[in-house]
Amino acid sequence: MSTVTREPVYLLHSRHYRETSLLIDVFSLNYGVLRLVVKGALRPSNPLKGLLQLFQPLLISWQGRSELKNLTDVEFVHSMPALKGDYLYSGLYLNELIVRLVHPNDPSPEVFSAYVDVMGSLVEGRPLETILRIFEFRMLADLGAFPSFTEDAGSGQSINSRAYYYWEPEQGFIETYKQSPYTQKNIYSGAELAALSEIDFSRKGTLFAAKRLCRLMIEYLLDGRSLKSRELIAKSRELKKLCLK
Amino acid sequence: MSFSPLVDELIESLRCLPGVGSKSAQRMALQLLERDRYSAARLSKALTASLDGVGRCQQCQNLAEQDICKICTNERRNTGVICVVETPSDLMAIEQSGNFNGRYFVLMGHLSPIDGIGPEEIGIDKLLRFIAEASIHELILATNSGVEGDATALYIADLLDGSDILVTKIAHGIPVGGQLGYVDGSTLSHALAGRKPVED
Ligand SMILES: [Zn+2]
Repeated sequence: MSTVTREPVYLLHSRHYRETSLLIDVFSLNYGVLRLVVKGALRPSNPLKGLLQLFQPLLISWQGRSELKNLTDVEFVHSMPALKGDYLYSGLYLNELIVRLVHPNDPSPEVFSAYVDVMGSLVEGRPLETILRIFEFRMLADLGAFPSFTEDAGSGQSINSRAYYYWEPEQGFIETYKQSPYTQKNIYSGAELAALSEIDFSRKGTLFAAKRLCRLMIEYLLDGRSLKSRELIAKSRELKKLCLK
Repeated sequence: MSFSPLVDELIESLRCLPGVGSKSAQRMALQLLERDRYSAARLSKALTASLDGVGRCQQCQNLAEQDICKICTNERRNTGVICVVETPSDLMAIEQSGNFNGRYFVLMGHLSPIDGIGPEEIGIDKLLRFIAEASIHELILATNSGVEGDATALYIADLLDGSDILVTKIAHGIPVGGQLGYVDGSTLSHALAGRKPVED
């Protein structure tokens, strides 16, 4: 791979590099998460920097065989309206999630397509909890984090819609006899697991179960690292209360 | 090649400066030690003194030698407007333009969750306190154009949504003397979005 032209990407992150360059992380359709150098990006005459914007579908070209590739061109596909408020923070959260959990230089077209979909839903202002959970489910499934939703990992029997289960990392769902799914963080009814396996979040209870399960699984995959963008959202709630006083 | 331990340490220390690689650091160190020991002593004194004497303004976070900086305490400045910038050099640039007479708030960076920089790190709590105490009517967001600067501006604007403070953002657009044909699409669309009625 020495020259790639007009690859569909989203920008995830950029940081200053040396005097006038940028180091960018992009999520690409065919090459997964990639790091590129934008040489001279910070010089006033460089037109590329203005095009490198978060949450915008881009077509980029690059050159170079090594670990670090040189960006040579950027094109806007079409301009998406800017995200605001919780939708903006959610966008930042999704980018952080991808940078932390998706392996670099490894094509992940399924996660990319989930990202394209969730960006569209964010712009349209669809119900946030639902679209975030759908993205997390598609990402976790692609990362191979999901166990069987139909078989009890303890007994090997089929999941019983009237029984209750907890999730055990690396194993799966195991039946438990504590029947209080709404007070316990990690307990799901068999009926909820059936709905989750279909990514059917139309019922409120299922959506809440999805949220608890995604949190636990993401925390497990993060292995002790925290997500700063989550703090961003919590902090903004706290500060807004102060502002409106 | 290695000099004596002290010289090596000096060369290594000089490399913290932006744009200074090992070659230039070596040249600088030798210049200071061989040819210009007076300037070297002055540099060393100035560094020590400013490290001791320069802190951050408790109100606006700008570099300052007092608890509260000279801009914040200047009674001739408009106390009803605060301009939010990312760095002290952005503040200097606006000061030099001579068009702004309000006060500033210096974030000392921008939001970047992936780099671990959240609202606390850029002093958003402090900014809100400053806004509340100064009872301002306008907040101007002069963060840099581009990804993180925009996110930072949107974050601050969102916090003040619903308050009666006018939140504005500086216009980004065509450089003075610039030719439209040479301006990139994104700058052009910013400039178009920020267009104004023609005034007399
Ligand atoms: Zn000050």
